[in-house]
Amino acid sequence: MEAAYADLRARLGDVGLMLQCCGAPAHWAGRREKIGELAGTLNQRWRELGEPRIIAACPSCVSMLRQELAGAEIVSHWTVLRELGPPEGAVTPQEVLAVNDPCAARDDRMVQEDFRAMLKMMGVSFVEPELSGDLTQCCGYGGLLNEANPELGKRVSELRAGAVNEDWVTYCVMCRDLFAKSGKRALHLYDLLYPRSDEAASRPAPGYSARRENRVRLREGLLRELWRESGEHVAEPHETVAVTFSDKALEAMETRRILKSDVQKVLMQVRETGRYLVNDDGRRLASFRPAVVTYWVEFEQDGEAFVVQNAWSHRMCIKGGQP
Amino acid sequence: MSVIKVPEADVSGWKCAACGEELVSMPVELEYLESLFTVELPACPACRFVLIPEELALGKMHQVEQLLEDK
Ligand SMILES: [Zn+2]
Repeated sequence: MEAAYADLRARLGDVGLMLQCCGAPAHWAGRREKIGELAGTLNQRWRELGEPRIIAACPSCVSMLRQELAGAEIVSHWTVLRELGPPEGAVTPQEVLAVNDPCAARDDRMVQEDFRAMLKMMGVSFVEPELSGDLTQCCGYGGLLNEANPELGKRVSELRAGAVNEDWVTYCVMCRDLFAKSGKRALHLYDLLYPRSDEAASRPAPGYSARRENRVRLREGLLRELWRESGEHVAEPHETVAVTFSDKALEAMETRRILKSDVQKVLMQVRETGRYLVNDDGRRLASFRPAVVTYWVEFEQDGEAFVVQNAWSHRMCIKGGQP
Repeated sequence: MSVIKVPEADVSGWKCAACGEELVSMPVELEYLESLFTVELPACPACRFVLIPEELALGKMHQVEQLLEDK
């Protein structure tokens, strides 16, 4: 992301950066009030910035922003790059890749063509899957399927991921990560344009906690290094809780949508109040309800450091003074 | 209101660290989306710290949450 932004600044001049959700997940969840709120903020910021042209790389962002910002010119990053040509340092893999159009690009012929034109310009050999372009198939994320019905989402992911023998190349980060999560090698076009590793295709999907932390770090890094602003993220008390996780705990947290920060809140509660359960076999167990969900964490303690073995949650609230 | 009993809540070997008491089965009130249930659950007799085992949270409790959400 930082490399892509640096490239746009170097070749286009004045380019600002807006780090904000386009609202697609809220739209898919039917949260209309949330979309209205978000569109209001977006419109206001866009006007304050002098109504600039907006460049977005994610096809879902492009289509959402076109609905929310009436009158704004929303252009795909791939269209811009097609005009500029690939940046210096872009790499061309030796293998033949298979192209994947994300759902949001299904009715957007222009972005489908820009993506393929970029690959051709870079000398990348590629094949089309059976279902492609206007008939492309979902990766399992669209409409929040993967969140609303994880079992079905997983089946859809595996079906699409396994539809080709080649490694995938796509221009949607959710497609890329869901393919990776189902064990399929997959690249985002950014991996070729702004390479950071030779083994990008096998990079594991980051998971919920890491994705969130990456976003925080990106903002902090840019504020500090690019804009010289002390937007230093002030660590919340729970973020200072030292914690490591067993593989079992990490897997449970990912499937149950429990963040590292949720676990840290439970453990901070343990540290502050000393309220937890202990088993004859040495296991320890604590709960905490920061907002509406109650989180349970099974852990061991090694001095100040916590080793987490398992975690689960429920929404039902325990009455009567439970932490 | 009658007390609901759940076999998943039959856990032994747990003690409250703060009070040093063995957990005992007792009626506990659970609330979700304006519905109130009384369920027999293991809890500390001194401070009433309740244990919701993993099988219960992910099994029966989750089913009831979904039923209430769809109502
Ligand atoms: Zn107690």
